[in-house]
Parts: sequence; C-alpha cells; structure tokens
Amino acid sequence: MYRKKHSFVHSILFRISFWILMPGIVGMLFTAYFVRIQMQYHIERQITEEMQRVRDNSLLYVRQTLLLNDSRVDAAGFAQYREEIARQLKGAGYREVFLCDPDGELLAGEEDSFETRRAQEDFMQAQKQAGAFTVHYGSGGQCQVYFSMPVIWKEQPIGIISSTFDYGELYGGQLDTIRRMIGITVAVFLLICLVIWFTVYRILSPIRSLSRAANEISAHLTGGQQGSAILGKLQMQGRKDEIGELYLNDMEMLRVIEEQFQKIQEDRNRILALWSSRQEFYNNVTHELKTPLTTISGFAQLMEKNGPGDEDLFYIGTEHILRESTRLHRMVVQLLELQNRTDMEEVGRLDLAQILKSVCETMGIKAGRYGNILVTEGINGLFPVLGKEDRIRQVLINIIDNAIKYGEPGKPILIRIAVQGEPGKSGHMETKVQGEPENYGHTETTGQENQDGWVRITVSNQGQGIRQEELETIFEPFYRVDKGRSRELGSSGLGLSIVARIMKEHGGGISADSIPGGTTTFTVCFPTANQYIPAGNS
Amino acid sequence: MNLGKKTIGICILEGLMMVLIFAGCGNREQDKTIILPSLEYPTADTGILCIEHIQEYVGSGYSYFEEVLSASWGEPGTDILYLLKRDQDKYFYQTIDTGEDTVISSILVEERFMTNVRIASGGRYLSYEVQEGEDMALIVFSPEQETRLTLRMWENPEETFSYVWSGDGGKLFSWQNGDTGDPYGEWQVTRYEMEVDAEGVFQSREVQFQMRGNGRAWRSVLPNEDGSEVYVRDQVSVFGDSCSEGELEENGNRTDNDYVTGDGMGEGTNRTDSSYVAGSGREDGVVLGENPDNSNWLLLPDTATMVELPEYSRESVYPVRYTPAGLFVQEENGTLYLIEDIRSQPVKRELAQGNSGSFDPVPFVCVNGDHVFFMEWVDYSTYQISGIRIVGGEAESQPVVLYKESYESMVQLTVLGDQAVMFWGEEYMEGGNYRYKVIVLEY
Repeated sequence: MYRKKHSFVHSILFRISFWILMPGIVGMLFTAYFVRIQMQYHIERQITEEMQRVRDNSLLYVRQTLLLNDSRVDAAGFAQYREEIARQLKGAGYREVFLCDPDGELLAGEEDSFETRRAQEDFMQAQKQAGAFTVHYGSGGQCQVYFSMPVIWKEQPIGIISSTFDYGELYGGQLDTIRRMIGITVAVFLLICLVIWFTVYRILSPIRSLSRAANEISAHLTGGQQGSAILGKLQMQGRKDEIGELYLNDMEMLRVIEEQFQKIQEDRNRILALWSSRQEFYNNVTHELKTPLTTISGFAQLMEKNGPGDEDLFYIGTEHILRESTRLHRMVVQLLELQNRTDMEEVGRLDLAQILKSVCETMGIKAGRYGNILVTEGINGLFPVLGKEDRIRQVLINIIDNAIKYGEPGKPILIRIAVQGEPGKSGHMETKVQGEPENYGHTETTGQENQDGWVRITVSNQGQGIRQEELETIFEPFYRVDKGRSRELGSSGLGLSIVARIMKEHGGGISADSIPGGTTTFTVCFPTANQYIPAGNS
Repeated sequence: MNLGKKTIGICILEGLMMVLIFAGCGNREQDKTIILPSLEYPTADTGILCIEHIQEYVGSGYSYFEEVLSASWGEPGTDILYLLKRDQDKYFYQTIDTGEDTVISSILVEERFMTNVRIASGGRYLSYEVQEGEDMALIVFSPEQETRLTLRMWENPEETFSYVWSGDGGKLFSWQNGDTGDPYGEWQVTRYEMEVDAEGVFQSREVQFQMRGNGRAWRSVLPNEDGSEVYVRDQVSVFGDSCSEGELEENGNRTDNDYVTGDGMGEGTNRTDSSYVAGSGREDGVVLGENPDNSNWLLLPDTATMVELPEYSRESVYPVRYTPAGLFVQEENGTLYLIEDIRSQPVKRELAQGNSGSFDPVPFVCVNGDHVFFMEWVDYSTYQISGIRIVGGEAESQPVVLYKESYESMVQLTVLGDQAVMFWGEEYMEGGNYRYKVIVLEY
C-alpha cells in the first residue's frame, strides 16, 4: 500500500498554494485598503467643496431672510428671526438645523440632540469662528456630515449655524462599487488560483505516482518480492516535458534497482547454498575421517585387550588398520589436492590425444580387471591444448576410473575426443542434465591440428546410471551416488570435485549426463591452445 | 506539523498584515473633522456688491385657467407692482400695493388672445400683439387712459416681428420687414414715442429707419435708457452657427440671395459692398477681428440719423444692453464683454462668465452700465442671482451670489434703473394651482 510519509503542510502543492494565496490575499487586502483610503480622500475633498458652498449659501440665506424681514444683519436680527432662518435652511435641504448665538447658546433646534452636537469638534471650531465639518463613517456604510459655521457679517459674529447632511448615498455607492470590484478581483484571483492549483496538481501527479510506486516497490522488496508488475502499471503516455523525462528516468532507475535486487537475491541464494555446501563438506570430512579412525581405534583397543595371544585378531586387526589408514591417507592427500590450486602461470602446449591415449593404455589394464574394455574414438588426431600434463592426466584417469568402477561388467566404455566450436550450452563448470547425450556425432580427425574451438572428451559407460537429482551434486566433495558400493571400492567421494577444480583451472569444464539404468556420459571440455584463457581471467 | 522557523516567521508577519489590513478595510465607525479654509466675508469697504434690502411679494394662487403674463415694478423704493393677468379668456391689468397686499386696480384690457405681452418699465404702458381680422396688430395700452393704440398692422402673420421698450418705458422700438417685399434685402426700425396731447388723446410719434439687410441676419435692436440712441446689429449667424474664417472670406463679397433666417428676431438680406474696416484695437483691449458680413449701426431717432459702426467681434454675440459705459455683449460660451468706443475704435473687454458652479447664466445690465447681474441655475430647481460691479471698464471681482432660491421657473428679470433688480417666477402648489412670487433686490 502507498504510504503517505509527509503531511499536506510539507507538500509542494501546499507550498505553492501558500506562496500564491498569501501574497495574493495580502495584496488584495492592501489594494482594498488603499482604494478605500483613496475613496475617503476623494469623498472628503468633495464634501469640503460642497461644505464651502453650504457655508456661502448659509450666509446668503441668513442675509436674505433678515433683509426680507427688514432686519439688520446682526446678532439681534439673527436671534429674532431664527425660526425663519431655520425654515429657509431646511427648505434648502439642511437637516437638523441648530442656530446658536455667537457664544454657542441654542436659539433654534432640538435641545435633546443639541448637547451631542455641541460636544463635537466642528461646533467647537465654529465657536472659534472657523467653519468646519465632521464626517462620521458608520459601520453600515453610512456617512453623515455634521457641519458648523460661524455667521459673520461685516467682521461681527452674529451666530452659529450647525446642520447635518447625509452623504450615505454617495459613500455607500462608492463603497458598493469598491466591494463589487474587490469581489470580482477575489473571484478572478480564486479562479486563477484554482487553475494554478489544478495545473500544479497535474504536474505533480506523475511524481506522486512515482512516489507511490517507489513505496510499493519498497514494500515488495522488503518482503522479498519483485515489483515489476507495479512498474508496468505506471506506463505514462503523452508527457514529453521535464516531468515526463524525470518520470521515465525514475522508471528506468527503479527497473535497474529491481534488476540489481534480483542479482543480489541470486547472489544471496548462492552464498547461502555455498555456506550450506561448506557446512556439509566439513560434516562429510569429519564423518569420513572419523569412520576409518573408529575402525583403527576399535581394532587397536581389541588387540590390546586380548593381548599378543590372539593371533587371529592380530592379523585381522592389522589388515583393517592398514586398509583404513591407507584410505585415510588417500583421503587426506585428496583433500589437500582439492584445497591446493594448480600453478597455471607456466603451462605447456600439450597434445590432448596423446595424453588420453596414454591414460587409456594405463587404465585399460584396470578395465580388463573389471571385465570392461575401453573403446576410443578420434584418439589419433592432434588436439593441442595448454595446461599441466599431470593434472590433465589426473582428470582423465579419474573419469575413466569412475566409468570402470561404476560400469556394468562386460560392457565397453566409450571414450571420444573431438573438437567443437562451443564448449556447450552451459558454461565451463556447468553440469548438463539431459535426456540424451549431446553431440554423439563421430568426428574422426587424423594428423590434423584442431586449433579453434574446444576439445571435447566424453567417457560413456553402461551401468546403473545416476538419477537426475543426483547429477546436480555429484561434483560436490564427498558425494557418492551409491555410498555402499563406493565404500566397497574404496572411494573417498572427492575425485569428481578435484576433477571439476582442475577443469576450472584449465579454463574448461565438466558435465555429466545419465540415463538411469542406461548410459552415463562424463564430458570434459578444454579450450584449444588458441582459445586458452586461464581461469580467473574470463 | 513541522514548519521551519522562516516559514513560521513569514506566516506570523503575513497574519499580522492581514489583521491590520482587515482592521483597516472593515466598516468600523470613524469620525474625522475638517476645518474649512477661511472665508473672505463681505465688508463695507471690500467693494463687493451687496444687497441692502429685499422686497418679496407672493401673489395668491391661481388655477390652470389663470396666468400672469407680464409684471413690472414701480419706481424703486415703492411697493407698487403691475401685472397683466389672464383669467379664463380675459386679460386684466392689475396694480397691486405689495406693502398692503391689495389690488389697487384691475382693468380689463382684452378679451382676444394676446401674445408677446410686455409691460413697459414703470408700468405706464402695456404692449402686446393680437389678431385683428386677417391681420396682426401691435397695440399699446395705456392703463392711465384705459385706451388702446394700434401702432402697426401687418398682413402676413408669419412675418417675423419684434419690439422692445426703452429703459424708461416711454418709447417702443420695433423692427420688421421693409416695404419692398424683400424681407432679407431691407428692413425697418421704428421708434414709437408715446404721448398724450393737450386734449388728452393718447397717441404716438414715429421715426422710422430703412435698414439694409445682409442676406443672412440675426438682428438686435437695443435702445438706451431714454430711447435717444439705438444700437442695431445685423449679424450673419447666431449662436451655434458661427462662421469659420473660410466662410467669412467666402462671404466677404456675397452677392447672392442665400438667405438664412436667424432665431426669429429678424431675417437677413444680401449685401453688395464690403465697406467694413476692422477696428485696429488698443493697447489695453483685445485686438478685434473683422467680420465683413456683420453690420452695426447707431440710430439717433431725435435727428433721424443713422451712424454705421465698425465691427468688433469675429464671434457671434448676443447684445445685452447699450449703456453710457458701452455696449454689453455675450458670446456663445457665456462670457460677457464690454465694448467701449463703439463709434470709432471698439475695444472688447472681458468681464465675467457667470458664477462657477452654475449654468446658463443670463446677463442683465443696469442703466449706467456699472452693475451687471447674472440669473443662473445652480441645479434644475435652484436659481441664484449674482452680480458684479464694473469700475473703469473692468469687473471689480468675481460674480458674488446675491440671492438664492429654490423655485420652479423664473419668468422675467428686470434691472430697475441703477438701484434694484426685480424678478418674478412661478411655482407649483398642491391641487394643481400655481402662484407667483416677485422679488426686488435693492443694492
């Protein structure tokens, strides 16, 4: 399952959203604030101009009213005709008109609301003979203007006029305009954010898929499984941009990781197998060493107990002790051979056919003793190889000896030597498990040098054969197909292991094919002299 | 949530900014007091025109079938108001004592439909036009004699005809088509001087001037206060119909009969000469242009003399009043000019352009030419009267608002001598009635 390791706060999407939204919102708010300040500035400028006209008109209306009533334009007339003046001002659109004497005492107007007006700054300015107005911005978009002015005629203050004007429609209208503008701006901004968010989301989608795949592959690998199926699901189409390139590269990287993991798995299995083999080797060594020692020790103790008087026991015991000690000695020698590496720095050019011929002549005697005959093919040819003659001879003796020992009496043992282009389908040291022996075609070469390819020697016998599951382990030390019979024949179980090592040192290989109850064929391949590459360099 | 210190700092900073700005953007209550710049109040020695007394008379209401057609105030300082009032199909000349609010007299003048009604200044005469049979007639009615006098009759009811009273209200000047049948080639200016002979017969003496037309004319006839001098202008175009220089050159030697009527006050005729020489201007005035198709005359009825005057304006002008100080004209943009020395070398001086913040200023000039008043509208329900004093041919200040009132319609304004301004208007009342209000501003 996909494991989300990071929180949304740390996601790229959040960061981009944050860095777009926050400055955007702050910018919009700042703009709204600035526009609002500007709007208030313009409204106040407009109100100032209008209040100047109101002041002029008020003065004119006062004079008109007083002159119409045949009154002098002075404080007394102002006080006397206050109601007419107030009526005139109200008729001109003034609201909440207060008329006061120059000291600020109310002459006309509602007393209840006058106390509030009296405390306002504009009224106090009017008492100081300066026209002023107070703009009150309400929380609901209201805009009230409280205007106060001194009435001065011929440098004599004759009264104070205070009134109220409603600019709510102007202010509210502009406020609505700004709100609509901000609303539209916010909508457009959010739309842009949505588009950006969607675009980023799409851009990041492959990365999320990769992350999810990596997590799943990680989970699979942790469980020892492979995640190729997951990679198969992540095939992406249509993306040719940087993200697509990254995606493909990451896909390739995951594939390489998987391959490497597979190799590691294989190496691990191999190491485990080797470890197991080693353990089994030591078990076998100790077991094989212990068996003759037990025999030797047993007879020795028995002879000591019976003393020199038991002549029969002496002879039987001595025979057993000699035989077991000989076997023990041979086993030790073979173990040392198995352990020792051949010095392949100085190899000689050898004719493999000559060596094989010599070995066959030697082993022919033993074969005859077991009622077998050795039949050779291609032995008169020239098969130059590079190697150590004694070691090669040891290989050939060993596999022919095995063929004799495990062969059915009276059956011929077929020995062939030939040249092939390739050592075989498997590598140098690979055993073959096949139903039929490979390439049994007879190639007779006489006096002609076979310089290219591989020299292949096969040794076939007829006997009980080897089961296929045993073919895979016959080259391991101390392995015997039939332990009872090999012991009888004095086998230590190390011969084929030594052969395999020698073949490896010569850059060649050994394989075995067998049909249970039928033909068993051991094949050794040597590189020709021209193809020779010492082991360890390939 | 494991944010970095930097991110946390930025978040806090932006949060603070948002809080501050939200606080600034929010609709919170706020008061702000602004002190107005100081005002130069008019004083006794500032020289700004001041109204010293205001008289107001509000007439009684009348129905749709009644109407005040013309009004005139008596001598300044008196409370006498003269009215011509229609009641159903009858026209009454009323004399009202505004101080007592009583109708002193109400004389039946006509029972026929009358138009172009004007009460002469001082209320001595009433002039109007009626249809008599198939003809039109210009009639002057003397309330004192209770007698009608037919000054002129003409056959063509479509003939463009107009008239004006002299400032003192004793002489009537009419201008009409000539006798040749070419209304654009020649026209007439007639002065009717009203008198009552020794036998008490109401009659008039006529002095008539034959005028040449220029083919495409807009005519103005402006008598002075006592009617001894009359300024006459025959102009090629009216406001909105000014000639370009190319047109002026083209029209310089016009010989065809390409007539264009004016605004109904006159009609043009062709001219064959190009005898006008532009004024050269003076150092203290505006250099005047020339417009060879415009004609200016000064008529002296007492000696039956006609003096041709030089042209003074390239632009079309509306002559306002001819006074001893000079000729006052208004151009299409509303600017009022004083033309001095119109007989020899006219000098055009810009005076004023009405009051700022108002529109459609209509200028009025006192008899001496030293006080100019503008009737102008502040909005469509408020009008105001502003004025300036002219000293040495120049305006003493910007126009000063003298009176402001909300009213539905202003009908007429008259400058009474050099002492007062009288104007009257109508306003709508509840129940479909109207009432009139007359105001006299004494300065």
